[in-house]
Amino acid sequence: MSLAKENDLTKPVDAEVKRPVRLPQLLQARTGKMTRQLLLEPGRHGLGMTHASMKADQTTTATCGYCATGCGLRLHVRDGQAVGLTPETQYPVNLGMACPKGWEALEVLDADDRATSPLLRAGKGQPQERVDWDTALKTFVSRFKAIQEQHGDHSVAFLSTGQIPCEEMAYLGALAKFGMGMLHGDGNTRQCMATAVTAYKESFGFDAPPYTYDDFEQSDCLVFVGSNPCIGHPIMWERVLRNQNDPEIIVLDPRRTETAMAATQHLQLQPKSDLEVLYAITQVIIENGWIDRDFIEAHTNGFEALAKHVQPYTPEQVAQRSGLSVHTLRRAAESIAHAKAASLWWTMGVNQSYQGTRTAQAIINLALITGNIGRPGTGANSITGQCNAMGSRLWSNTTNLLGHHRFESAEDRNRVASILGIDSQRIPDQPSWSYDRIIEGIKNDEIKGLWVIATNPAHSWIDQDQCRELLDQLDFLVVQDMYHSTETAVQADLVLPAAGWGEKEGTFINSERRYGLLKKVRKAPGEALADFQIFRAVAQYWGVPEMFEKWDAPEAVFQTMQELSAGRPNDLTGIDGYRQLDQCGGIQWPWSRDDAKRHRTPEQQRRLFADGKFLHQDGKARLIVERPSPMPEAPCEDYPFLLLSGRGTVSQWHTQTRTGKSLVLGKLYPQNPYVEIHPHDAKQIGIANGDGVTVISRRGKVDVLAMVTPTVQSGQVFMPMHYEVTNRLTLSHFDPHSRQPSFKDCAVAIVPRVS
Amino acid sequence: MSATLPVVQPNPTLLDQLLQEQQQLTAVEEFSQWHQGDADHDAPAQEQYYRQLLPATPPGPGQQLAFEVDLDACSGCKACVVACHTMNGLEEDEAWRKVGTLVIGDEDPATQDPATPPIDSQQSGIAAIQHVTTACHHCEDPGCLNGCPVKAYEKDPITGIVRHLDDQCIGCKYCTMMCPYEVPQYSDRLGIVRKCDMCYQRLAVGEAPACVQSCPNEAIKIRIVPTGRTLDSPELSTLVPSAPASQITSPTTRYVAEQPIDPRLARPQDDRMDVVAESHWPLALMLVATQVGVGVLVCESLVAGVAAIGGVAIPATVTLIAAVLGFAVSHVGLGIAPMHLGQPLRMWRVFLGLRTSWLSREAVVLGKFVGILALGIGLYALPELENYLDDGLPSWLPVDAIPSWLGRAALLGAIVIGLAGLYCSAMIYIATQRQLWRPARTLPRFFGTMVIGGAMVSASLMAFAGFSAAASWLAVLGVVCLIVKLIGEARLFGETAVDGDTYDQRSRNLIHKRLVKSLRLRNWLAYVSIVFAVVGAFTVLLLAGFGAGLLAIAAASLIFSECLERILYFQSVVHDRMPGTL
Repeated sequence: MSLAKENDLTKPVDAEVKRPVRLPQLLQARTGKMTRQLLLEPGRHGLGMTHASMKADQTTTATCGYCATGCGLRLHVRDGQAVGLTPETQYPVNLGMACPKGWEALEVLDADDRATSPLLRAGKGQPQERVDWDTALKTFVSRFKAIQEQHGDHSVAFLSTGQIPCEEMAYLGALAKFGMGMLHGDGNTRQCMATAVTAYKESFGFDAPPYTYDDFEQSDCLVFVGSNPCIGHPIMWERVLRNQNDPEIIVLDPRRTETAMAATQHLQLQPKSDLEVLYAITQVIIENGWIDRDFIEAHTNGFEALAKHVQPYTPEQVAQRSGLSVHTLRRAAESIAHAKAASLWWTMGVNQSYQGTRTAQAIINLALITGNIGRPGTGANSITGQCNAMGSRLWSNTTNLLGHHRFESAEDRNRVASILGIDSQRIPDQPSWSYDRIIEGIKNDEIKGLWVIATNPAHSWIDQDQCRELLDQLDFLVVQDMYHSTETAVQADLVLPAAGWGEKEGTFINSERRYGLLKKVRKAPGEALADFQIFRAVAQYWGVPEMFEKWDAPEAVFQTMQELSAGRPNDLTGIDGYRQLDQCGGIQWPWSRDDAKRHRTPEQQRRLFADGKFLHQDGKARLIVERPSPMPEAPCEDYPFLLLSGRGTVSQWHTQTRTGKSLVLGKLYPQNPYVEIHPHDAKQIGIANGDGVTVISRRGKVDVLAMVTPTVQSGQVFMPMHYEVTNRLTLSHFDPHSRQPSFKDCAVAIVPRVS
Repeated sequence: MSATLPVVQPNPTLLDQLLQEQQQLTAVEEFSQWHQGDADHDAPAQEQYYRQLLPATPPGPGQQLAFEVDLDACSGCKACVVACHTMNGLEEDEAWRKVGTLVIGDEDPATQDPATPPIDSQQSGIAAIQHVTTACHHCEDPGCLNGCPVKAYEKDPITGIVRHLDDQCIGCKYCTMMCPYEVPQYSDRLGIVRKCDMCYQRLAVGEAPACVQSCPNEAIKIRIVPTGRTLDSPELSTLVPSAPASQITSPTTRYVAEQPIDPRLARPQDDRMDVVAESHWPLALMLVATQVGVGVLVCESLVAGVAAIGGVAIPATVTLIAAVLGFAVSHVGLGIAPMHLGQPLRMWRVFLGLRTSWLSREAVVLGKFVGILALGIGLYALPELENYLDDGLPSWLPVDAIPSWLGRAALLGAIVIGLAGLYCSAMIYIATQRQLWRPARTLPRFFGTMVIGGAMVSASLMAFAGFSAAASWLAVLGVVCLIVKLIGEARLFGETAVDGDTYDQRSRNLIHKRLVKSLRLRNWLAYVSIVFAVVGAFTVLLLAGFGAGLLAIAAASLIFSECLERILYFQSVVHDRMPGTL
């Protein structure tokens, strides 16, 4: 306290300053009930001055449950319950900061539309009615079993999420596939990072984002491709601003985003010309010999083919199509080539593209040929979307067998079976269908039952109207969610009420491969159960409890995950349980038993490939190229604008099922859906800022407001994905390698709306 | 395989066990001990990040504390808003900070050739978005403080922080009009406003305000700034492009950027998105009522004066009725006015702000107005009372000592004070320095209502009293003034109106988009009033009773019409704001 007194900034240095005469309290009430409502008191626990509502008798830290940044949030715990939160100062990810979503993480748990008991629809067209868990689970089992009996085991599938912890993903994947006999299951992660996974697997031999957040601070040239961290990942941007090297920041984005504004070079390219632009940059670098020959020789395959492939993509050739000048292209190439430590980052602009995998690999190629990998401040780095998208990549048991094993490999199946203590025959010998194939399966009557967990396809899936129709065609749709009001939950035959972040335990893996812990600090409302508990109950009701006997708590699954990871690139056998994760501020994979023996505690910032050893058989990375292809639905006379979509503001998360519940977050973004349009185009159509317009694509028609802004280019318009209407317009098409939807290119027309 | 399994009868206790486990909170037992280790360590953990964002010492004489916002560092995450909300324990939807957006770029299509898309942005000129975080600017000359009728604001003599005294606030919301930056936020639940105090309680122990602590990019700092700056240089004329003029209150926040924003190229994201302002209907009724009340007295005195010159004496009863009518109408208005207060029981302190607040002055002056008017009424009523009471007035009343002119003198006094009160009413809104409430727009409307309302009401009164000629003349006076007033309004708000500056245009857009029904009703009622008044003015000369009835209808619809006009005055007031969002 003495320290505080010295620091008082409200008292004069010399006590001589004359204060005006104060009126008596009766005349001028300086204190009282209302004043006391805003009184702050020393919070102890390092909290500083704290409002009574957040006064804690203990604190504990949990990883945030929104995006893949994976910030540490300091929970203020009073009488065992969390009463508030502030960002954790010591956490190595966020350094005491959080974005608005994180700040409001607890608030959204108290929403009125939380699902508090199972809801069952007696038949199509009937309303959903409250039932008890016993009825719900019996119905769940009997309906799904009946479908399987009639249409085969594979006719029931699941759609999971990047929003639940690894342990729950593993349980779900194992239960659905090994216990319930499903073959097909995928996650909403298909919509956000499938492209990065495919690109890394093909290039590095393993899905291994190589970086650590410290690279943002160490780099002297940062290249952001289709990435707007200012809005998408603001806490990562915090790290960029902490960079002391006065770095060159190059942004490739068709929009003049916040990040583009902060860049030293903004390459405001035409949409989907990114692959050619990256090839042009590669061409310039190779032509000028600005490559790291030794590294290429020792650690990569395919350089000759790459050099030959990019030869025609001269800046002169690419300039016209990309809308960039030759000079701009050359300067960017030069900056990347001459940097001591260049890092290349990409997000959804690349991933959500029909040629995303090759674009991501063009980025990886650039890092490899310039030797920008494995050193501080370098890397070809995918910034992931959801809090546990990285967990889903390893543990969802969908595309990959648990722990990034292969379903196709008998050896892998046997290994997993023996660790789980199950019959290896129960493990399918082929991976799941991808999300789009599952949806198509509904259309083809191949999928008749669907279990949707913590995701909202009726809002988020591309060409939404079609998706909603197909969901209605299912014989039985189960939605397991925190809220009974999501667009998908209202379509469900059965709603299972789930506990949310803060009401359960488990681990998330963030973008830099860091396992972080979540904590159970709130009681779930009503009869809502953690997804983990729901899976336990389903296992019991389905009649396979003995298969999961060991898994009576999330940490038990974590131990199995550790065993599964032993000796693999994602080895986490060195982690000494949840407690160590908590004490270390999270631990990045790999952290093997050997690592743990050599070092007392894990270093907080670790990156991959320092030794140049990649994870293909020959230890080399592959340089992969392909010819760019034209976008399938370019603007035309009838639909003259290209519609881009993406994140609107920091305070909105995906389909808004959670963030939409916070009143204060609601003040931070436009309440009505809107379309951003260039002033020139607006004038042509005859609309002004704030006017109502109708946006029409070949699939749908939506009413929104016009936001007139020169930050989009003429001929292009932008709509945030958080509003339900946006995906009614989008065109269902996919990257052929990753099957990720290409959300950001479809043709639309815009007409003024008469109010 | 599984499809062949039967539906198994489950262990009935499992669900109970799962539900029970779900309600057990384990984090504390398992993980908090480690964190508890530093429980007694009181130094705030975040201090390591914000230390350099605070001044080393308190401000000295001629200095104060101020926010400094680095526009280049702000990336628009808006964490400052939520951190302020959370760390200060505000209500669910209460936020003391706000982040708006400026859209910057060349809007003129002439400079953009659509045939050839721009060859990269660096060459095609700038296009940018600039987020602007804003809270209280702790002004050197705070509008909120000057306007507050009860001294619920104080400017701290050391730090310059403008603090709001929540327990003193009467919830009159006048500060929300006086503050050009929309800083004080009214809470329906509490019935008071609250606002940013720069986290005074944190600064008092050397901690940084919530927004400063929480900005990931260190874009908000607390700085010591000199007071008494001159705002002559054009860069200082507004805080950021599109913001209110800084000369109104001398805000102290500094927005710094390596390259200043060219105001010609910047516009707020909510450009042309004006919203309907609060109707303040109790105030609207109060204004119209007091204006009509004073107007009735004025007209009666006018008639009495003219009559006296012509050698006719207006009966005391007529004067008395006019005075009572004026009193009643004014009193109804003054009675309704407190309905807009969130804390009416604290209203008695309203005199405290006399030195700076027009609202305080209005309340006191109009209070005196009804007092003196009541005295006048009393004096006029004495003889009537004497006739009415069987025993006459009590003997101790010095009835005979009261001169006969005193009643009229009191009424004239009431008129003078009433006019002063109406002037104070007008100044309440003029003082906000909102362009649409400037004197030329406010005074004619307010005093227009007084003349028109007074004329119409007293016309019908005179008609009932049998002074048909006076009634007729008054009605004509009212109609002429009303037509002039309506023409003035039509030139500003009419659908084909072209007059006026950008504020008028915005206000007109707003009215036609959102308030057109009110506008139509106001006009329609005015036309009804005109028709009845004109017909009444003629009829009264022939059929006094019928004419009086027509004039009464004219007066009533006029009063309704004027109330609507006054509500529109409040609702359609557009003004400069800090940049907002769509």
